[in-house]
Amino acid sequence: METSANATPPGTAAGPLPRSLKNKSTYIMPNAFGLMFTVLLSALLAGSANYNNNLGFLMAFFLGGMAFVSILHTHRNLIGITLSGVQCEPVFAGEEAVFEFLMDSGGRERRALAFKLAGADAVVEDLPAKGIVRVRTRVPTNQRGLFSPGRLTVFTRFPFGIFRAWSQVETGAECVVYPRPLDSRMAWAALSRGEENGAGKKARQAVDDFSGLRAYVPGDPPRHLWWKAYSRGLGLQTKTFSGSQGEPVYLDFSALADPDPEKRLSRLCAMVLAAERGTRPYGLSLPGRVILPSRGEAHRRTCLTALALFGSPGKNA
Amino acid sequence: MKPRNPYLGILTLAVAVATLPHLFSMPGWVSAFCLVSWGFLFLAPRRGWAMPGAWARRALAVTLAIAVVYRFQGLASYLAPVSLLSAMACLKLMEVHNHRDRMATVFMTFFLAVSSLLISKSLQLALYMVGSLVFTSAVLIQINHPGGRMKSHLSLAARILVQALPVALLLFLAFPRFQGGLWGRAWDQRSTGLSDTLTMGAFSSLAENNEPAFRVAFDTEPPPRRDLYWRALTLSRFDGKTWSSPTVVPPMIHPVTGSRPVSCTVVLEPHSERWLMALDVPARAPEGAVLRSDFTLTANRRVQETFRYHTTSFLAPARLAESAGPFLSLQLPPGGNPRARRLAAEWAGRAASPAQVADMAIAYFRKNDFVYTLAPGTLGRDPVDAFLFETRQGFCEHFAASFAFLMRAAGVPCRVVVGYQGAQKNPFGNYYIVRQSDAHAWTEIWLADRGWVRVDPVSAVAPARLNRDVRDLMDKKMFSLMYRWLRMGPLARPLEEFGFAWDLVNTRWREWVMDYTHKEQAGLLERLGISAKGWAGPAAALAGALALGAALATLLHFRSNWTQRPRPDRSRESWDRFCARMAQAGVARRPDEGPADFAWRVSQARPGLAAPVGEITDLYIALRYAGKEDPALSARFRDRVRTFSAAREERGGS
Repeated sequence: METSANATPPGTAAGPLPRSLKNKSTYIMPNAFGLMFTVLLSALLAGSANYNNNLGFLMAFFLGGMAFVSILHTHRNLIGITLSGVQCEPVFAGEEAVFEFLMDSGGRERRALAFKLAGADAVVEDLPAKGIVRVRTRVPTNQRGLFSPGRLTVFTRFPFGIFRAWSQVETGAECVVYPRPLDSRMAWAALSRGEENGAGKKARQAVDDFSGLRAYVPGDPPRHLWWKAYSRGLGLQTKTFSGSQGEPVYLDFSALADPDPEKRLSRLCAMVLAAERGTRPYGLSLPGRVILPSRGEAHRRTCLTALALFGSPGKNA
Repeated sequence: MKPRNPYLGILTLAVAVATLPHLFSMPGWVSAFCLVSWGFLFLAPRRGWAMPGAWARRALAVTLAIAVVYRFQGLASYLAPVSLLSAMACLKLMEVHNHRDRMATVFMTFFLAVSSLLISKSLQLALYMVGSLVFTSAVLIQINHPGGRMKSHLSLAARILVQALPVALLLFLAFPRFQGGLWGRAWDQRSTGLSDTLTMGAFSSLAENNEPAFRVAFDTEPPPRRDLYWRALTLSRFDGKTWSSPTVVPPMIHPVTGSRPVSCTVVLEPHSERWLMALDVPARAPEGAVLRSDFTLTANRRVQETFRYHTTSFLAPARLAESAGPFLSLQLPPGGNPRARRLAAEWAGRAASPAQVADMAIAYFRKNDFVYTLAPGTLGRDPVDAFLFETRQGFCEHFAASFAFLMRAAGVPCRVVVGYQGAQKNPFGNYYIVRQSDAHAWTEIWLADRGWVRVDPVSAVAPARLNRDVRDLMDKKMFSLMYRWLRMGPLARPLEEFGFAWDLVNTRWREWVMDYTHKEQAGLLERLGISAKGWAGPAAALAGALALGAALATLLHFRSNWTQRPRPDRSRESWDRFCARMAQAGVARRPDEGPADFAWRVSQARPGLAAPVGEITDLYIALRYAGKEDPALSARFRDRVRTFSAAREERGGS
């Protein structure tokens, strides 16, 4: 479980998930339209006072009272919302990281709530009284590593749009950003040369030698699943191919010629993707870390994560 | 093609609702422009029509502004700014592109809705305005809650209004009122009711006007209906065609005396004129008015607001003299109506006294089949002759003007008096209503020994007029179809009853709410022990009202939300309590861990607890996931959690 090491700034909902937006950390202020509304009210009041018009007074006070009550509505629209979970799939640098926040309305219907992360557009959602809503916000990334989007700002102007209530919540969300894949013939050629030395070509030709079935293990490529059996209710089974068990290949950081380590990581990233599309098991060799050859979605993820977190201490899990 | 503007429809509707009360009083072309604009704005998105461009809108705005200012010769009439605002709201709707435009349009609509107060202060209009405010607020919610349903927004807006009532009412009571206005003066209101001139043959438009002219509450025994002559003006100047008031009528200097005193309180509707009505004849002037030598009351300023005054009158006055004498009331321009002059001269020759001349004239009306009607037809160049000898059909003005002409031609001083005759009792309240349709004209002749004496020629022809409603006497065909259906159709009776009930409510509304002024506010503050003098007292009252109102509104808001809160989930509460106890015992449930997984982990980590935890978890799962809440099972589960203690179970188990 993630525990934030740095001190939480005041006015932020903190602590482990789920976290609720509390009274203390919620603020409310009139916005520009609130000021416009004040001008409107002042004009009505001045006119009524000048002509001693009680109907004018009454309407001005109705409007003023409604604006006042709307403060309470705006405030209550916000407090008590709970952030009960965060989900984020890894992305490649340059892509948008998609954070999914699981928001619980806390038993009251919420309307027109806006969710905003720094650097991203606000997302407006309604929360029903019961159930959890997934709020997806997209933040652009440009650097590999562990991307932390910072605090999530939740704000609302409901119902009248003249007051804005807001609160910030520490989400603890992190997104693994893989290096930007840098495809190059040179790197691929290096890999191919390694294959030529072994039985690479032969292995590639033997792709379709069907050798048997085994129970499905998460990470098996979908195209190797025996869907026909699944549709008959026989459970998920994976077809195995003798060709998949080719000669392992190592993708080696130190074997690349680029002087810039980031570029090397980008090339390795492209190579991992290519190798996964191929048929041979592949391993990854980084300074200080070696990942043994294997195949499949889980292995690919391990390799890419290692590339993403390369050089950031304590995060090489 | 531009994307469809989803808010244009409701914004247009809000503007239309806010403008509707003005639609009938604005100049026809402004109303037409508004109607055409709304139709266009409604159809344009459906038909794919393009909105007018920026230059077209600017040109329209300038043209309309110039036309309005030209039509009203400036901005003196309240209709000028209202017309401008209505037209500009239509133009604004044509350039709504973003959130900012929409908000600005809504604020404009609020202003437009409130501007209806310039029309009248009646309760029905106030209720309509509140409805308009609620609808506009719902539209405001809609533009701030994209994709929401208008129906739920309407109910939310209504709920917010109800929650705002305490603040609004307390502020209404406590907000400082000032004596007189702050600056400037009120816009001229439209003027209705009596005319201060009388021309025979001119069309009389008041008969179908059912609006109240004033209301009366008698302090003393109400006189019979035939004595209810409400005097407004005397018309003693005659130019051969038109009767009018003299420019200057000096104030009364003699005290008025008499018998049969009647005192009453009159609540006069604003008519933008200075004359006041009083029962014939008033004894003295009420506050804020002057009693003139022709026994009429004149207010010190035009009556632009509801005016309440107390009068005392003598139904049987002593000799009514006036300082200027009756000589002005003999003036008659030469020429015209020769037959009437001959008839008058003949009467003057035969009669022994002016009173006999009047009796002869009345006898003439009675004998010659004169008809009281609202549709007298045209009278030609000599209207008195035509009326007396040819058509013999007319209403009170014809009778009064002809009688006065005959008297003057016979040398008897005579003048026309205009005002109202009669009153309707409101069966629901202890007051009488005098309507515009009760407008009446009669005459007074000067007799040396008795002073001014009232003579009503209509009583000779249609004596029932004085005891019954004028409408009952007339040929029904003379009224418009709509009017006939409303006043004489099968629904007339319930409609009238409702009218009286509503009039009572409306009168109380005026009395208690609209007429709440500086004076009433000072009284209220005194009763609360706060001095209304200086600024400290009123300021404290305002601050107190604000605080109290805010507190009440907050209370109301949270109360209504408490009642909406779902019933607590007791099984869930028990489960949470159980988890807390397990956490104390050293096995905390992870937030993402389901009950079954948790029980499994506990049984692994603490075998001694496997049995009780398994039992509790099974119960919880049965309650939670079996689909229905079984009260017995729920009770058992809660009981089991209550008695659960990790330490005891482990001790007992090992």
